[in-house]
Order: sequence, then structure tokens, then C-alpha cells
Amino acid sequence: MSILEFPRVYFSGEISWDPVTTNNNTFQAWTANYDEVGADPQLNGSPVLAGQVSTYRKAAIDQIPAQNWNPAGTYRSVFYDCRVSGVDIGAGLDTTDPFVRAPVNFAGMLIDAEPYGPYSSQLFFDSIQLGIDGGCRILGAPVRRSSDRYINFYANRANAMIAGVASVLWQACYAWDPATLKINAYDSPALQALLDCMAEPGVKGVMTRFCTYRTIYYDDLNLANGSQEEVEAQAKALVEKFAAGGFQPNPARSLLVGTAGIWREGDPMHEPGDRALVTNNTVVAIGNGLPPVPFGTAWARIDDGRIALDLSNAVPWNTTAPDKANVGNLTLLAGTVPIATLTPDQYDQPTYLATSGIVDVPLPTAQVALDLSALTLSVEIDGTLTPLLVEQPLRAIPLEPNLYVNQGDPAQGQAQVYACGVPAGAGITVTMTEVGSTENNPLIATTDANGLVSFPLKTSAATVTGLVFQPGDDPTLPVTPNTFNPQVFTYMYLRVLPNDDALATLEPSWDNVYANVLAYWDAIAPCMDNWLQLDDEAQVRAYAPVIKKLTDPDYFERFRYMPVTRDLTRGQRALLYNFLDGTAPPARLMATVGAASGTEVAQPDFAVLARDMR
Amino acid sequence: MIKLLWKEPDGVADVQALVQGAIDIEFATLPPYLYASLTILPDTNAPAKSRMQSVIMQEMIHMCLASNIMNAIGGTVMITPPHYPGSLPHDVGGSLIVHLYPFSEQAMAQGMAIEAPLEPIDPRVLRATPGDQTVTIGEYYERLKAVLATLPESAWTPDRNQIDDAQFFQGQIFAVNTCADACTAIDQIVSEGEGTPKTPENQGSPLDFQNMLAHYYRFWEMQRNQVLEKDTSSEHNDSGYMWGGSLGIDWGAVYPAIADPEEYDFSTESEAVQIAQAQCNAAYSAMVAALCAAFGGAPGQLGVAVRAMFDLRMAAIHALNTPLTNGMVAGPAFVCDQIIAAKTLAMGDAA
Repeated sequence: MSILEFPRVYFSGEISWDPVTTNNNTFQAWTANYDEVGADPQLNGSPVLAGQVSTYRKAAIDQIPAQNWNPAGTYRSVFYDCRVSGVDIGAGLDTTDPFVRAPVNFAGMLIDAEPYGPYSSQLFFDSIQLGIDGGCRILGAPVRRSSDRYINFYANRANAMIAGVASVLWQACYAWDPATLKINAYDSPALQALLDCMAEPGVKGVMTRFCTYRTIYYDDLNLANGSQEEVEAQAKALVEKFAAGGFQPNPARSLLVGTAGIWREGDPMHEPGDRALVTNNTVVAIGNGLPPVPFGTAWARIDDGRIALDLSNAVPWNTTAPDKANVGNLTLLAGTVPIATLTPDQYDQPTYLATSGIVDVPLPTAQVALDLSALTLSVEIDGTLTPLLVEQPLRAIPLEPNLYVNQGDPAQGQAQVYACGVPAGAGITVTMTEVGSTENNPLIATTDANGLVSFPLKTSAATVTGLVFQPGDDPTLPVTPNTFNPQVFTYMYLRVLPNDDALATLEPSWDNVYANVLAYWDAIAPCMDNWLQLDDEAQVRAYAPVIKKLTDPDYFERFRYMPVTRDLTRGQRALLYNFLDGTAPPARLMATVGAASGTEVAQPDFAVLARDMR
Repeated sequence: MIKLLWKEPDGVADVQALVQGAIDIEFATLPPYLYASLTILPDTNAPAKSRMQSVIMQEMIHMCLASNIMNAIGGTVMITPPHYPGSLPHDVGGSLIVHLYPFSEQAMAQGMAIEAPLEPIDPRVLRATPGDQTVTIGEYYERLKAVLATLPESAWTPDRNQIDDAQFFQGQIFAVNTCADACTAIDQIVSEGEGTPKTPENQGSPLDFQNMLAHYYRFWEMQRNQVLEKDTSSEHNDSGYMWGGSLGIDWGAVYPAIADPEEYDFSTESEAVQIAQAQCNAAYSAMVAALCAAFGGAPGQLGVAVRAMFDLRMAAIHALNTPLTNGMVAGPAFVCDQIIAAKTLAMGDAA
């Protein structure tokens, strides 16, 4: 399944990240604060006046040196300098196909379902385009947004600036339908092969998967291992820009590698469903004076005498250039039998860029005698072949990575169980637990004939909750914020927006709609007034049809949905519409890591790691 | 085809004046392109809108890059908003009067005329010859590269008032600190405008250095209402391209906007119309003032200019929805309500 099949289209380049970070904090003492459960920027006023919004925005700027690195972002994430780097139709990497060097264009809105944490970022986008109109091209409108998964807190220990240490995996799918997906092959054999695949039974369309890494802030790579003083100097310069007025975004940026390929029936939309070689947190020396780290999780597919490994998020870097750490030969085992050896040049940075982290290795001819249901990727540590990644045959992948629900509305958490990379059958136990729940009362269900399992979700109270799905009879319980490892657990986020239906009964006056709806947007997302002055009644009234279109629930997945933060409650929407209609109301990382020698298992505190990302 | 005045420079001041010419021409393309784009009715003509927007964005970037070159060689960036209709700055050919046209075939043809590619390059053309000449934009830039290369290293000042991509246009704006940087900037500007030029070694291409369609060809596509397609048939000609399917342009899905609003007498129109025009001019003036400050090295002023640009867009939309007595509407006239730049530099005045 997935991009691990052929044909593949590889691409690489850079991406900018420009989220507003004012709502990332939890410091109650701060004026510019945000209650993520209440979806409330806490303007503390009734009615909220424009002056309070100004005060809030100023406070958000004042907080820059301490934490808030981007109070006036656009939320936009845009590919740049991104091109098709190669293709593979099953005969090896080809850089001569006419599609190679075609530009890749993407613009998404980066929105956290859970603003405080790093586990639920989403890219809402209308399309991705590899190539150009009139030339070799893939143009796809996604079925759903892309959601960050498998954030790897150990990706690059040489880059200590905020989330610079991390890499993240993003996947999206595009249904084969003339309205949503175009493949213009022209003289490209790779695109013709992809086009031909679309007619095959079981092929649903195209999938893209990309990994973002080496993130830098303030457009200054030196901050990756710079001093606090250097960070503060950049923060001070940003504050000075705000003193001029105007619009002052401060985007971060990352490198990326990605692959486009086949999306098959059964493939999850938002994360890999291939065979999962999951990190066991065994650390390995990476040199350059950096502490040893574990590998990130990888995926595998066995086909036609070869095994394809997706190592795009697995092998750590050890410089800010960045360069891949040379940890020696990697050995792939089936059971206890070595079946392939990966030399360092098969996972170094040039190779990573060339094939987007996917490595194809032939299987031994005697593979029929091997236990191919138990794959392990190992490395030699102190003379002993030591597993770093171990296949978890069962994975329960939620159908909705991040679910938004109104308080009180019925909701279900559904997951598809996979057995060695294909949908499983009936009778598998799945446990769903809430991250950090003190109740320790997990829900248990059993898969149906299609390997699906459903759980009722509690929506009686507003919440932002991580839910972990564990297949099998031996789940890890409880899952706390400190033990929640996104490289190991599959999960979804549930955001229950608060019940404020009483707002719908308020007089739909300008004062009420501004105080209870528009002031929230005005405070948190100054970028929204790039097109609309939210504190200007006449302008808001003049654009009523546009506002209604952009706030429509059916528009939620679209790039220009309002509010960009996706936290509009039912009561707020009702009050807003009553008004618009003019109607009466009906730092520290891995403290326990030891020396480089010997076999060690990290005991990371994922709550600390996650906090450092903000 | 646009012809620009080229006069052989004599010293750094003259080179600065030539760079100022490049800045002027890049800035002067924006109002006509913006006027055409703004007059497309909402939710219509998506292929045209996206083509127009991408061209406009790149023209803004070109202006930033040209300004970076000016600052790198010690000059002062001036912005002198042109009047429409009128010749483009330094256009002594006199053949093209640029108008603010609403989105139309006429506007697209005008865009093609502005962006027309170089003729096949003859090495003789590149050689500096004395005296005044008129040259295309591409030739102008090629000659500018050549004269920049003659400047002594001491003429280049690193990190002087440079605009980079830290806040806007990631990957597309970069600091110019050396002659090599300037040449890279010029290559990108020319490539994005005209594509890959024909040379004795290269048959040329409508694609720019990023393998995107160059401005001239995007305008051509819109003017013909056809996609310029790669031609892989056995009958293909030397260009390797053919005119393909329809772009789906609806020339009727456009605001009923007058051309050249600067020439229109708004004094007899309603107060609403006059206020709408005043708001457009105020936002435009604020944008130009902030750009001047930004290119002068003032912190945060590019963000102020972008803010003003958003205000201009909103003011323009408002103006385009405020009817005139004749049943039509007027977009922004792009008139500065204050003097932003002292004057247009003539040759040798930059010192």
C-alpha cells in the first residue's frame, strides 16, 4: 500500500511556518492568554471593547522575548524552492524523467487542534500542485486536511531552538475524480505509470507524504545552537518592528522531503498504514558531542522480492547543515535472520534528499522460509546487534486524527486496526485511553469483520483531549502526558467546543457580536484584519455574505475558513448569523540519557519535550 | 515591446541612476496589473486570477531585489508613482502608453507588451556601445549586469538596507551584497518576466528558472484564453509548445470598471464615490511612503507597507462596489496624495 509502492514521485524543498503563537501558552498571569478548553482569549470584559483587544495585542507583543515568537503570524505554511527531485517506476531512481525539476506548490493554514501542544497541528489546504498547468503535473484537492503525526523529538539534537530539534510527518490523500485530481502525464513515463494505476481496482487516488525537519526561527540558523542573548537580540529586533506598526509576521521555516504515490483502499488518509517498525527508545551514539538518541519510527512494505523502508522520519541528524548521523551499518532482520544491510551511504543526507528517505532493498531469494511477519532494524552497539526499531504487527489508527465536536453532540472515535500493514479482521481487542486521565477507566472494544472499532466519545463537557488507541491484550496503562510517546502510540485529538448556546438568545447587536465573537478573532489572529477590519461594524455588515460563506461549517476544511483558528462555537455562530442576517434572535530535554556506550533505553518525559516545542 | 532609455554610464552615480530606472519600471508595472486583477468579479475566473496574482507577487519581489541592488551600491531608493495613462518611466520609445484597464483582452495584450521577451541574443547587442539607445527591459537588465560588473569592489556595501525573506516571500527575496548577488537577482527578474531566452546554444523556453511559466506567456495565455501546453506530438514545432484547451476565461465576469480613473472627473460624483477614491489614494500613498522608508532601512516599515497594501485592496473593493452616475464603477486611480519622492532621477543626478 501507499507511497512505498511504485511509481513514486520524490520532491524536496522548504516550507515556511507562520502560526500565531499567542494561544500556545498557559501562563495565567499573562494578559495575552488563551483558555483552550473554553476557546477563550480571556479578554475579561463585558462588553469587550476594542481597547481591550488593543491591550491584548500589545501584551502579546510584550511577551515576545519570553515565549511568544509570532504574535502576528498569517498561519500560512507555504512550500518554496520545492521541486520534483526524482521518480521511480520500479527500476530505480530516475532523475531524467521530464517531470523532474518541476516546481511543487502548496499553501496551507497551520492550525493546532490543541493549541497548547505539538501533537495536533493541522494543515488546511485547498490543493497541492506538482508541476504546472500545461505541463507534466499532479494537481490534487485533498480529501481532508493533513495532520502532524509521529513528531520526533530526537531528530536533531544539534538544533536546540524551540521545535528545531524535531521532525514531523504529514500525509494527505487525493481522490481519483476529475473534480479533485488531475494527472497530466505528457511525456513523463512516471506520470503515465501513475495515471495507469488510477484505473486499477482498489486504487483510490494519490497520496502525498512529507517529512519536515531542521526548523529555524527568526530566519537565523545560528540560533539553533546559539546563546540566550542571541535569541533575545532577535526577539528585540522583532519588537522594534512592531513599534513601527503595520503587519509583522515572523515565520519559521523547515526543510522537507516528500513522496507522491498511490493511495489504495485501506490506506489511512493522515498517517502511514504500512508495516510499522516502531522505535523501542534504545539510544545510539550520533557523534559530534551530542547525546545519544533513539531512532524515529519507520514503515515497511514487502513487494516483488524487495522491501521498501520509509526512513524519512527515522535516522537522526547531528548537525544544523543538516547531516545524517553515521551510526554504522543498519541490519534488517526477519525474526532473527538478517535479510538486508543498509550501509551509511544508503541513509546519509544526499540519499535522503534523493529518495525522500525511502530505501529499497532486495530480499534474499530464500525469503519464503523467513518469518517476514517480524521485522527489526538493528545496529551494532558494543559488538552486539541491537534492535532500534521493532515491528508492531497490530496498529489501531483512528479515522479522524483531530475531531471537532460541539459540546453535547454525539460523537464516536473510530479506528481501523491493521495487521502487518493491511486491514485486520474481527475479534481484536482495542483499548482507548485518555492521555492524562486520572480515572484510569479505559474503554475496550473489539473489531468487527473489517477490523474497525468504535468508541463513544464523551462530549458532555468542553475539553481538548488526546485519545490513545492500543490494539491487543496488553495495553500500556495509564498513558500520562509524560509517557505519551507520539512515535509509539497512535492517537486522535478530541476538541469539544464549549456549549454557549445562550449566546444565540442575545440581542444580535453590534456590541454583542463584537464582544462575544469578533473580538476573539481580533485579539488572537491579527492577520484576519488583513482583509477585514473586525472592529468596523460597517465593514462587517458590508461583507456579511462573504463572512457567512467563510464561516459555514461545510467550509471548515478550506484554506480560507473563518475563524482561521477553527474554534467558533455553535452559540457564537448563531449570534454572528443573527447579526449578519439582521434578524431577531430566536528546555530541557531527556535528562535521564546516559553515556553513549552500551545499550540504553531512553526514559523521556514527553510532557517536557512537548512543552519545549512551543 | 517596451523600450527603455539606455545611456552608457560614467561612474557609480550613473549606474545608480540605471538601477533606479529598473526600480521605476518594476514599480510602474504594478498598478496596471493590480487594476486588472482587482476588477475580476469575486469567485470567477480563477485561472486568470491566480495567474495575475502570481505575476503581481513576482513584480513586487523584483522591485525589492532591484532596490537591494541600489542599496548595495550606495544609492538611495526613490519611488515616484507614475500617472496613468502614460509612458512607463524611461520609456522614450513612445510607442506604448500604459493604461489602467479593467480585466480584458486589451489589458492582457498590454501586459504582453510590457513583458515581451528579448529577441534572440546576439553577442553584439550585449556589447556596450556609446550614446543613447532604446532597449527592451530584458536588454536593459543584461546591460545593467554588465555595468555592475565594472564597478570596483569598494562600490559594494554588504548589509546596507537590505530586504530579505525573513518576513515575506520566503525563498524569493535575498540580500544583495556583491556583484554576484546582483547578477543572480537580475537573472531571476529577467527569467520570471520573459522565460529562458533564445541563444545560439538554446532554443529558448517559456519557462523561467523555476520551471514556472514566465509573465509574458501567462499574459499570452489569458489574452488567447488558452493554456500553453507542452507539445509531445510528432508534429510539434521547434518551440515544443502548442496552444491547448481553454482557460475558461469569462470576459464578462468583470466589474463594469472605467479605464484610467485618474482621468475621470470625480467631482461631480456622489460623496460615497469620492470618499471611496480618497480611501484608495490614502492607502496607496501610505504604502508608497512605507516602501520608501523600508528601502531606506527603517525597521518594520515593510510590514507597514504590507498593511497599507491590504488597506488598499479593501478600499479598492469598496470603490468597485460604489457605482458612478453612469452606472459604471471606478477602481483605484493609484494617485499619491502627497509627494513621496522628490523627483525622478535623470542620468547623473543620483550623486
